[in-house]
Amino acid sequence: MKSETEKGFDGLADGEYKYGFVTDIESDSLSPGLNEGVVREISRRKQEPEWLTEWRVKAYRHWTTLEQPTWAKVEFPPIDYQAVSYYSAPKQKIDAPKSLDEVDPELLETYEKLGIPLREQEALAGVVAVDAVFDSVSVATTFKGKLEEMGIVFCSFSEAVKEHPELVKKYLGSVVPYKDNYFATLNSAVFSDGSFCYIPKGVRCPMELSTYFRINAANTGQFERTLLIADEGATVSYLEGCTAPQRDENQLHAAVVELIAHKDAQIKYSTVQNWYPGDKDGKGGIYNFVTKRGHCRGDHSKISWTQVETGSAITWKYPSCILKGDHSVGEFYSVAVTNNLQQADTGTKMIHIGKNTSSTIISKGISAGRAQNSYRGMVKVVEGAENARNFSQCDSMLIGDRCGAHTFPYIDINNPTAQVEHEATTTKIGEEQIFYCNQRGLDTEEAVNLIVNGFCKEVFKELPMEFAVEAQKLLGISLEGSVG
Amino acid sequence: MEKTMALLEIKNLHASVAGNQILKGINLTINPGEVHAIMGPNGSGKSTLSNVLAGNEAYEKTQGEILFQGKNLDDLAAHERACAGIFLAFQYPVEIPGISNMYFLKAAVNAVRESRGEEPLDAMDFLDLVEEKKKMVQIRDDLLERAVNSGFSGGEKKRNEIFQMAMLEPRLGILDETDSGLDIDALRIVSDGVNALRGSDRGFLVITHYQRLLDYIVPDFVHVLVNGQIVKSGGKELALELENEGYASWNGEQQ
Amino acid sequence: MNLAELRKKAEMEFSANGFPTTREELWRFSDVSPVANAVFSNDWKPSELEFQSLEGSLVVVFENGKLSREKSNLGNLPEGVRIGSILDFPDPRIGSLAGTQSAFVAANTARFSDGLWIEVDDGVQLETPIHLIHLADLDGAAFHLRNFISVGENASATLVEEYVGEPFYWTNTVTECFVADRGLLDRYKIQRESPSAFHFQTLEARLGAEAVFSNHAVTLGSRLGRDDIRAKLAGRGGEAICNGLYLLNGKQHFDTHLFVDHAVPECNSHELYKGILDEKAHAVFCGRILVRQDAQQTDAVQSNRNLLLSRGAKVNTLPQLEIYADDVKCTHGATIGELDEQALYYLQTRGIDPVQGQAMLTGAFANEVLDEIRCAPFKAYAEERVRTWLEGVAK
Repeated sequence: MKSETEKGFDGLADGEYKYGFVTDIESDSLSPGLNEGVVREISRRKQEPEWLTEWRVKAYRHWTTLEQPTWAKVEFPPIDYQAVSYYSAPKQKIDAPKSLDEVDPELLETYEKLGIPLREQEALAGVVAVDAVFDSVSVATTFKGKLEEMGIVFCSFSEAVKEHPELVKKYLGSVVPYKDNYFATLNSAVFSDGSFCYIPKGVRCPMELSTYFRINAANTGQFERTLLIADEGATVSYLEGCTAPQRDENQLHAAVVELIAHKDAQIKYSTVQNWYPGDKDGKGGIYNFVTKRGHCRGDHSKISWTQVETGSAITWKYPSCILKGDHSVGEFYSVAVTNNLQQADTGTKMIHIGKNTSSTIISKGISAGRAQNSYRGMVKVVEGAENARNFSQCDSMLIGDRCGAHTFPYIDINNPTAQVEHEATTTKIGEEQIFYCNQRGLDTEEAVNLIVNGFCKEVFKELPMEFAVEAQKLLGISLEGSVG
Repeated sequence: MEKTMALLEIKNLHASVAGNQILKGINLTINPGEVHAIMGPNGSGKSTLSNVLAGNEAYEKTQGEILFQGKNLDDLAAHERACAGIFLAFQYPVEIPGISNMYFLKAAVNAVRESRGEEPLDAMDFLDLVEEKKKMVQIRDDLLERAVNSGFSGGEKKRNEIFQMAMLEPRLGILDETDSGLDIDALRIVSDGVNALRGSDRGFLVITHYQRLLDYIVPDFVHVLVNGQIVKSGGKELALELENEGYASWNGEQQ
Repeated sequence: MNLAELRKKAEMEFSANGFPTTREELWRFSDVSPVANAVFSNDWKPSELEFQSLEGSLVVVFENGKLSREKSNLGNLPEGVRIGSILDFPDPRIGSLAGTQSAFVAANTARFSDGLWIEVDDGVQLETPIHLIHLADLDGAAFHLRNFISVGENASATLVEEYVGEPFYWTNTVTECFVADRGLLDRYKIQRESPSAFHFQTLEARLGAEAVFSNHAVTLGSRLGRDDIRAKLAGRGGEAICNGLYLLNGKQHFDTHLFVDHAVPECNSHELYKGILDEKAHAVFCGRILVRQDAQQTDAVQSNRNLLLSRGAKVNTLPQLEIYADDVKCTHGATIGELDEQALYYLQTRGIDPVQGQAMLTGAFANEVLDEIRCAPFKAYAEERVRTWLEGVAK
């Protein structure tokens, strides 16, 4: 029999995935299948320089020698990589839209439905600049002009390849090499677009930069690539949001994000991931296999990852920091919520290389329904990394007795001056707390929401304001129906 | 008659923590037999002063001079200062799991004795000393067997600090907010312990936020520490004055 | 499958699969190729090593893999207690917990030559500790020792295992423990193998309802070694305690893999493992707690703490929680670091110089594990050994 708590959660889970609509738009797609010809064709359609074509081909050839990894605690049927279409672009009247007026109105409407206004005058009074990626192609970047005045480059990846080839060539693959892992290698071969950002020396980016990813076409994989460079003394805060329509098939999303922080630079990268998670019985949903890594290249640099993962049928991602510069700082704040049959295996890697480096890991996992939620993280201190400091706190909360919560830290210490502390706890949602809330007039659903939000507070406070509000709402929606 | 040497002389003391200047020119002289109270609001530098005197390396003396019985303290490490007779009763006594209180005290007592050129105490003599001193602060036997401060209540920790002071018989006792977290009964026990240790050759520096403690440990002098400087000194009546008026007026004066 | 068949199967599997490599997740930090590449003899000779038994204990001496009746002292066993060679007491349960789950277990199952067998009947409290001493001084030999311990309902026993030897050999022991409902087994191991020896041990324990099993491992010896400790809480209200202290120096490599399986509700488990690593020593700790779906009201606490004393020392720690029940309280923690500076300062303000303070705090670090030992003579013995080791480090 279900407890009161669980009943309350049931109500919650029936909430619809409100981003599940499909946009009716003509798209220009490659037919499904993957071979070297397809890789070359993607590169040709994007009019890429030869070095990039060859880089893709090298990646593709390497990929054919790899096997899909099995170490994560997730289960899914074999993926038929030949059944996926590796390129889908919304058909445009003109090659690339010069202004928003040239963007298909259907597309603009889609983003408006998602609550992401692309028209600058509507965009949050100028505090957020947005790059919108629809299926595999960047459709609009706002506030470009204003940013350009400061020397900030913020554009689609394809555009960067054309306009700033020297930057792309210098940094592409320098953090996540094309040989890195199965999904990153696949991405290197077939990536279609994504966002590019460069903050020049000493510039403090005046607004939040944001990318919204949207998968629309059926049977399409999305393979975007983000490259973000903060030059010496630069500061930037970057937001990423994701949604996809409700479809019965699983769709593959294998993105790569590379961050580079030079001396004294700071990058804050926030993600609210809300891909379609599949229905209550686990039908459909996105396979989110993402490689995200930041390189604190210079002294006193800092990279901070914040993620709120509520969507996707399967999440496989480990936003990491390589702390190479002396006194560099890495942070990872994560909330991962799984409900119904969702599976998440997520965490981070903190690799301490420079001297006096420090890292903080705060991970909150919430598992409900029949979901499986794993934290997997690594803290490594190499032999020469004097005075490295790490603190990790990984807490899991279980809602209902048919889900799982797991913690797999790997701590690898090779220097005696390191101070590393890892703590993890797993507990049930507090029934006394729920009762207390009930007694004060809150229904169980509200109570659970309140308690879970409290549990995640340490992470939410790291998010930019508007995102924090959105994240809290998402959490509620994700857990709908989970109290059983 | 020859003037007796001061126990502690602090001249124009400046000190910083993690690069922040906290103490900005403290002058203070404590003669043997005197009890001085330092009062001040949070953040005025009270704990910094006690840590600088005890030789905590996290605190940096940037300017000035500290003489203890005429001797400059600069070159003495924390344990050497302890052996010389400076005792700090911590505001937050440190928990040391795995070392029993008795073993710890025996090591400390003998380290101090050794520095004075005395023979170490054997187990029997040490136990006799413990028996004699433990009554002073009514410390329970089981606390002596437990690991240092581990799992002690707030009151037990503070009593343990005074007990250690009684065991080590210092020349100067610094009480850093010893009253914080004590209920009225524990406060009385701790104060009685301190009063029993008062004597003509021993001085005390009592650091506190509230006047309450000074009802029990009556000071000879009271100093008001605000923003890293002593802004007023007086007799014990100054404490009552502060109790009534608070520190606000002093903060005001600083601005 | 009877034991003879199991042994045959184990031999086949071991010959076919050989030793694990670092490509396998469970062995990724421990390279056992030195064992795999060595050639071991099957000779036998009596041991010439001296030994000292724990005061007031029942002593069982094994020399170079075989029980020595002359050196053992099993004269007057209380009623309801049987102790002897595993070869004399073929119990149908031998092999039921440990068969072929790893190369080392398979090799042992196939080739064990002798081992300790203990049976304590229902309701019998064996107050006297049993002290197993394994003396190894046959150069180039492999010793596969198989121990079997059965503690009946409402019964209790204490076992101390000690491994000591010289110069080069491979000890490979497997111990199967059954603790019946409301039974109690305290097991202690002190490993003082030769600094060039290999020491591998697998312990499998199965606990009944309200049974208590405690295991304390003090590791000082061996060039390369590993403890695999697996406890299954199979009856309601059981309690498993697994503590350990590893003190390593030189180029010692020691790996501990703990696995506590909460299969039923209302069980507790506690693990405290601490290590002090000097010179180029390398420690691996992997502690896995599994809470199965119906194991509600589980209380599991695990902690692994490490002190690195020198450049070149390293540690890999992997505390793992795998939880499928919701009404649980599970925590784990791991730390690696230097001594607490606050504590060092506190000692200093009491007149203790930093060198002495460091020695005191290092000793205190180890004491936390030793303090949990309930068997007084073993506690005194282990403390003495640990003190000697720490004094060696201070020099």
